[in-house]
Amino acid sequence: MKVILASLIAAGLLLTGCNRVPDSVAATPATYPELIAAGQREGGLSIYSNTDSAEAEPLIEAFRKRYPGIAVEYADQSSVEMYSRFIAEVAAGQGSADVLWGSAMDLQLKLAADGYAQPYHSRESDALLPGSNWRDMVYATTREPIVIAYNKRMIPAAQVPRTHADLVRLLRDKPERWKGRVGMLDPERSGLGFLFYANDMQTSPVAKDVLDALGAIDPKLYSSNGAVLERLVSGEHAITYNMIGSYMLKRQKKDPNVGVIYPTDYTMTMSRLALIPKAARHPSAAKLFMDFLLSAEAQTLLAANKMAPVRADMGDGGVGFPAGANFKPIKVDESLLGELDPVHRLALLQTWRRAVRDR
Amino acid sequence: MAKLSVSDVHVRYGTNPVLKGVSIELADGEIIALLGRSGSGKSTLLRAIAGLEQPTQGTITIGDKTVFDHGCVNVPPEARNLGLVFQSYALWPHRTVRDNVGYPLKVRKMAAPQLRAQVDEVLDSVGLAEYGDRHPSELSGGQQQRVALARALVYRPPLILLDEPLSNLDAKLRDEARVWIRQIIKKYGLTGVFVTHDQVEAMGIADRIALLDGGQMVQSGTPEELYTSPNSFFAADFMGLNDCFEVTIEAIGGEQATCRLGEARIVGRDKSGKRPGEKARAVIRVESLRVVDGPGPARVPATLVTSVYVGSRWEHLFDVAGQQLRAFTTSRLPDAAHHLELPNGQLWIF
Amino acid sequence: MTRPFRIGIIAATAVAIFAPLLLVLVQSLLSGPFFGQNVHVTPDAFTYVFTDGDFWRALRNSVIISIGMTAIAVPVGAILAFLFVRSDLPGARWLEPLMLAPMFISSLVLSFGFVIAFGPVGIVSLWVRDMIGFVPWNLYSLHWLILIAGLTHVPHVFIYASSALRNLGSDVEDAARSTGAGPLRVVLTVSLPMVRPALLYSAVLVFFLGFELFGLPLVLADPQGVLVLATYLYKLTNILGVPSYQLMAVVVIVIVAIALPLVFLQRKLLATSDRYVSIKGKAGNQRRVAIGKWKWPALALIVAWLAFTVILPVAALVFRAFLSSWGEGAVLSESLTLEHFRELAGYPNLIRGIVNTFLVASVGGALSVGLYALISLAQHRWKSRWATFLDYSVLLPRAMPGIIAGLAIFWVFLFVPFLQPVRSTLISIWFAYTLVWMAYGMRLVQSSMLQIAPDLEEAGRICGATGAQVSRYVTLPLIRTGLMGAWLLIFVTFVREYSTGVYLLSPGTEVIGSLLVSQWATGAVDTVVALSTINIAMVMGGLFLLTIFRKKQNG
Repeated sequence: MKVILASLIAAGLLLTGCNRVPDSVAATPATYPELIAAGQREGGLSIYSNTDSAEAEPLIEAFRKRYPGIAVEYADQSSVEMYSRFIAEVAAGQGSADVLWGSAMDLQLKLAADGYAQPYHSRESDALLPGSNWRDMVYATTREPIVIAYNKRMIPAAQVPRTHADLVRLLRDKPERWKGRVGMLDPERSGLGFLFYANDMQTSPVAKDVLDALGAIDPKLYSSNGAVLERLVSGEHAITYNMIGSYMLKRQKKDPNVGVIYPTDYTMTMSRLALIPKAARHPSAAKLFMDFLLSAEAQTLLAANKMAPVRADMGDGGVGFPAGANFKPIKVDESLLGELDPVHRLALLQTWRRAVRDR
Repeated sequence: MAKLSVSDVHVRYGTNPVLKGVSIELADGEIIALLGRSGSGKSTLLRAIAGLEQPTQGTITIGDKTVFDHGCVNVPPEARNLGLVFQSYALWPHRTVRDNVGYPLKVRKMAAPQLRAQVDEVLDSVGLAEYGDRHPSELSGGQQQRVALARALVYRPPLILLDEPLSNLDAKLRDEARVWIRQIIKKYGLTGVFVTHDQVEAMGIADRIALLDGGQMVQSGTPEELYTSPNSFFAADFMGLNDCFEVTIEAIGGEQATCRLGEARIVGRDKSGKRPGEKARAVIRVESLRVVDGPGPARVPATLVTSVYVGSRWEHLFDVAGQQLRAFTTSRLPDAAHHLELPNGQLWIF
Repeated sequence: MTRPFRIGIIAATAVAIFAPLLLVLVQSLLSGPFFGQNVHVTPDAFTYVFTDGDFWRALRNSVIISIGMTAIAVPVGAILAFLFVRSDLPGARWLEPLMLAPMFISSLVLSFGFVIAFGPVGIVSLWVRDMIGFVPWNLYSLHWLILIAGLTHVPHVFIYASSALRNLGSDVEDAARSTGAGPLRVVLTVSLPMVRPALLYSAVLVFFLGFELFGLPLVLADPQGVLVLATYLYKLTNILGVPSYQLMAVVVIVIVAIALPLVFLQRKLLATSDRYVSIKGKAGNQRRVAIGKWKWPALALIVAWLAFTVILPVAALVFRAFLSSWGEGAVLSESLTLEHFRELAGYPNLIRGIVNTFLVASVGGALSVGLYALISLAQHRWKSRWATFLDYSVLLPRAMPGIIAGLAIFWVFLFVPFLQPVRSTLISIWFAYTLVWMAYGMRLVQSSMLQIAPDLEEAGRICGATGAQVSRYVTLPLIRTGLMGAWLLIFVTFVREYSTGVYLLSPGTEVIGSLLVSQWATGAVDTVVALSTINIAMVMGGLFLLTIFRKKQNG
């Protein structure tokens, strides 16, 4: 029986080799109407994304209105699931996504660097902020600050820190007040958590001070946003460090107790990155979608959900960034790959552990 | 031709041998009782005949069909076409009496009207004609037993097996049922095998008895043969109510043995194979022992220890040379020294 | 059932069980994904895991939690089962559906209910603090985790124990009462020992669920940094940035290695199942045991369990669904809102998700139970190495925590050619659920089957029926209650499932669980809670109808 099973698996693997979907890196049609026609002929589009479907829905609707012949399938899943699913499906020669749209910036870039993405020079490329396009293969589609969130019931307005150094002072001033009251994503257990931590450390030396200050007051570490945010809202945590701004802003709309700080010395920003796989079955439709995603219409829709635009001509899109915000975007380039290198990553995690865990 | 032929059947439970080579032959229309203590292997033998146990050796033939031959033939229970009445009756609680009884016919794909008629007929013959639509839980123990029997009879199997058919009935019912079961089996002309630990039941229903102990056959014969000519101590002691006591053999003459009990001398049928001077066990049926007024041949002196009145008779306990013997009389005994007579033909020496 | 047929069914089941497991085993010995390029065989994964302090800590915690929760769930579940099924407790019929309530809610959400109710700034905690000045408990400690895990798994034991107790004839208990034993004595020395197989099976299964525990520790143990195996697995998916399947596979191998001796132990303890036969061919009546003065303590126990495990956390959850803010310093009366439900109503595919979930759970659940019954019949009263083999295998799919079970099954559907078309349908999700919960459904069916006296089935054979005919005419009808119980268990479990089908979902086959998870990922616990409220309401409504229906049938 095991022999049968082994041969089944082997057969499956062999077939994946033979069954490889031909790479669809055909030349883009010369004119846009031709691209649209090609897209309509393809008739379908499969998107894998970790953007919540409720937030993506207006986008999909608008895209459908524009190109009525294209049936859109939107699969909402976590960034790890997306990655695992995608690479397995490509290896099996099974159809996979036509567009991968995710906030795991390092994973998206890795896919492109590993040769899974096809280049496409979007017609919107020139309208984007600098640093939003990596080799025409990976595009940043949003600009989302990474903020410090706090519960207004716990911290009076006068004490709210404005910079990272302020935060350090606040935490060091009365450590008993903060013991166990600060929450954040765990770099060891959350991909995004690590991304924020690694970039934080790269951006400024004060980040290390923050790390040490946090380590001294027993910070609570979580693997998912849900757990942290809810505890901020309830006041169990007074401050949450390095949180995704768009989620905080959305929550603020519902619960005015949530306060958002854009540290004035520097505020990191992250982006949701989109790429078109080489193995896409509907490449033209995918290109149409990429253009659409970067268009003013889509960017406005995204901004309505607090995901600020990445177009140079739209400012903050009405999201409401403070004037004079000092944004330091996480660079969409090979530096992201450095963090995925196991040796480097584990070294960074060692620093983290020493500062935070092993006290 | 024998209706049932069991030849040298061995059965093991795990490493534990339960049947160690048993053979029986049963003629058409005979009823045989498998009699024995718990653990004697009698139920196992019955189940082996039914196909519910797998022997490790031997053959079983029903009529002219070999249903089991170790190594080559093993007909499954559903193909052996015999009837089996379980000790627990095994009536299906979720089905009516009619469904229970009719199931064998249903499985044999009998047409509905014919099925109904046959079920009615057999229910009538066991006296449960109006109970067809009841469920087993609504019937008494005796009624459930009759349903179980009806289910075993309805398809006229050539051979019917019964596992302790009377053990779950109370005493009064048992007497009636003994007669009635034999009647029904003979009426339908069936051949029957039943298992029991009760010798009265065995003698009452069966034409022949097979006495089993420890997985082996001890003696086989008619009830009379077994009762009046047991060929081993076990067989003698198992049947009837007995007095067993120790004697010393003095002389052996042909089939007789002269033995000494205390100071007295008695003679009995010798089945011991022992030599003079050796100790042996004597067995006599209690009802054969007579209380007499004076000494004589085949008589021993006895002292009365106690008496009990049980309505139909007086039961007495005597002390004879240090051993205790029971005897029955119809009237009270004066509290005096007595003599007991042990008739020659009724005394066996093992 | 004929021998080749039995072997065929068991072999097919074995293929379904071992395909994903073998993939995982192979994966544990590779340096990268098994379908990747330039991947070679290496023991590095094992080295990494076995030298990782976190792994041993997680393993130790999981073992402690499993033991603790089994020690709580089994006695409480058994006694509650007795009270509801065999004693003359008043109002039992109405309260009984509530006994299963913790099972309706995904553990992630239920755990949050506990946080909202009993957390450091929970509603109950703050109320107590207002009264006595401090909160006398710390919800995030290990022993609270064990307590909650144990109490929320009482329904699992309850279902097995009550099913077995329902089939007991009263004669054994009557016999005990007639010797002068009081009701408590009867329970402890007669009724419960008679259902020892059911209790032992459920003990092993609950112990196993302890290893699979994910939602509860994620919410309650995270803040203390206490890891369990499932959260350690979750950590492994993220710690190197790229998910490292080989490391995850090693953890699964470890859990499998724990499963096998467990099954061995269980089989030894149940060596003679004949002792527990209670559906005999001699019909007996079922009478309730009068518990007299124990009525009030019994009711108190039930109310206490319900209050702590069900009512308070669920009430907290439902309350939360209507609040915009809560906790320290929040004025609850000012925070009431319907915003979360409004937001939920605008959620795309919500209706489709609910419909899909119910389809998979009800129709799919019934099919699953049918399958379990078929497989159970194949090994029923069959002394064969095949039957033993099946016994050991059935629990193995549950050795894979949801995250990796889903992944492994996804791989099987992806790489085995003739399965590919099925992958994006509800069938693959149904299959994944059926496989992963096989041990649970099957045990319920098997223990019902064992309660039937063998001679009932033998009588059928003697009457001329083949094994298959006997199964249809005798065995299956007699275990109808067991089958219903299994279906109920499976239904509730499938509705609640969220991690196993994750990789098999496609647009069109979303289920409630996946909606919950994606909302959770964005931090929108409020919509999660709103969705759960609707979920609970629907299932409770369904159960209520079922109770009325049952009452009409019996009344």
